[in-house]
Amino acid sequence: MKPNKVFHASLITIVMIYLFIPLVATFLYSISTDWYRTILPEGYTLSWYKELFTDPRFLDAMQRTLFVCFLAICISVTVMVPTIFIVTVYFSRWERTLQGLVMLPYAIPGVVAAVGLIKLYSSGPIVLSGSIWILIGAYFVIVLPYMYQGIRNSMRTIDAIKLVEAAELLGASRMQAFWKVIFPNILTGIIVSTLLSFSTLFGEFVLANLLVGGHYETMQIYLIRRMSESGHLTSAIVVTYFILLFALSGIVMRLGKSSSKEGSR
Amino acid sequence: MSYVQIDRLSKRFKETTVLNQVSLSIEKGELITLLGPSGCGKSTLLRCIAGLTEVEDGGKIVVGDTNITQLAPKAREVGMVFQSYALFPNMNVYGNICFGLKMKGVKKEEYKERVERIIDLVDLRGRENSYPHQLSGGQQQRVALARSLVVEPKILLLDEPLSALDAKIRKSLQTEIRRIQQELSITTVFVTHDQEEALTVSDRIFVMDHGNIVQIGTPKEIYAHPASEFVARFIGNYNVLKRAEMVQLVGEIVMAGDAFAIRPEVISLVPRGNEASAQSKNGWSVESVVRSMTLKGNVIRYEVETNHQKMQVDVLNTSDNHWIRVGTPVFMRIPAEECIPLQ
Repeated sequence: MKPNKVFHASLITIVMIYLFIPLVATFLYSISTDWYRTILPEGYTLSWYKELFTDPRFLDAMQRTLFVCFLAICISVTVMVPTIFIVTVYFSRWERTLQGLVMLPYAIPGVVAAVGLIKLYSSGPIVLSGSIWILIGAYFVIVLPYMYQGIRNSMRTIDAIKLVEAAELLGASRMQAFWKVIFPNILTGIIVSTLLSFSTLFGEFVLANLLVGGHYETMQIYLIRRMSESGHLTSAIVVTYFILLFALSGIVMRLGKSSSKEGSR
Repeated sequence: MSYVQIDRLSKRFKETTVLNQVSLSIEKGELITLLGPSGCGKSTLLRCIAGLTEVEDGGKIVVGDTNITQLAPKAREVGMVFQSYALFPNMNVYGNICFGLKMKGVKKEEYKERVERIIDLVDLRGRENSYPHQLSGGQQQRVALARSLVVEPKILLLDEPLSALDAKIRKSLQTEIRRIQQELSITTVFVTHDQEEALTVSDRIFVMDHGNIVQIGTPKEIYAHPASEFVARFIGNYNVLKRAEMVQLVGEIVMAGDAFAIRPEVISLVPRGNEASAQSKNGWSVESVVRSMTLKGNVIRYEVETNHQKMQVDVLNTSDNHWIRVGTPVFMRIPAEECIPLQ
């Protein structure tokens, strides 16, 4: 091996060890009986996972998180797909405005957004503070950039304007052009954006804690609360959490790969 | 009355006039070409006919007996082939071709035969189940053509349909498009910036410049008798000389005209020492020197310099035409009847 290659290989190995040791250690801790005085755990058990998966609080929290994320993303897809289609194809001069608008959540820190939302919705015509609707609303806003970029890029890749023109000249109405030509071709993009948004929301803590907190215990809040009780249990939660996110990212990457292959053909 | 009548069509994008009161008429079954450089308004004119670009008030487009100026694209009964083909990636060849018929509510039993016939016409038999990304550029273009033709449009619009293809396929598809157009006798508007393509496929050529039609004629007329300096320069590699330059080159002339166009292939080169053969009854012999030589395949292009200007001369590349070396003094023989006066 050339010296240059040795350097590269060792550098990568060090980085990988640095990244993986905490994960491996967390996993080992989550399946250990005791781990104080030895290099490796003294005994192994799955009881922490058993405790976790039989804890109704955990299952409820998981359900709540899935519900909130699912609803926020559903609303986002329903609103964003037609909006981006209409702006891209028929009102292209509004594109920059829309882009600026949906990128705003990137610029606003979670704490600032939460405080602002609580202040706005705790009085006045619409009172939402403390309810899950304020969280769903906030989640809808923070996933806008992911939704916008993903869907907009797929429309650009397929040259949506030309396809719609071709479909209309062949006798299709605007709705038919969208459903029969555009939608099937951007579906992969929509799924990728959806999964990306889902993994972002799944790990979101600041807004969940500040906007609903104890009223509506989501996964993240549950995790923080149980942390103080038992390290083993917390490790089991973290590992479960990682596996879920890992699976989600895997699906996103696979879909992203297949869609980029199609785009380059 | 002509089948397609376009009357005083204008289009402005902000301050820029893209089409300036354009009027033209097309006969039924005719293939006309809109020819011009990029930005001359030819594609905009095509999009206006298709209804994809709105026209300014006052313009009128009539096809047959119907005024289609204000109709939506889907109601115009025009077929269009785009430069990028715009095939639907989620549908196979068969799906792409019958899309228009499905949208028009034609039943499967009725359109099946029509689709089969068009697949044979564009020579796509055996590729019906392929998706666009599995086809070559030429095949994709045929699908686009079949998709537009199968709905039997009143006019077929082709927007630079061959510009994304390589030279060999382009040439064979030019012939094929012409064959299909003549077989179906479909009125066709073909947009291109390639003068050779226009000369090959058209019944008539409409040369456009800055949103105006500057000359209309058959390919032969346009090539042999360009009406202006712009057309002469665009349609061929004409040598275009102002009147004063022409006088400097050949001496006093009696012909009227502000400028003159001389095709490079009508000039012949005679090496010095052969003065007798250089003399011509009706024309001029000008002393000059060969400055460069480029092999263009079937012709050799010489750049020849006189005292006053440079001229291009094309000589057929045959075995009895010996290549003249750069720096050789020659006589340039220009037949008078081949000097085309321009306005």
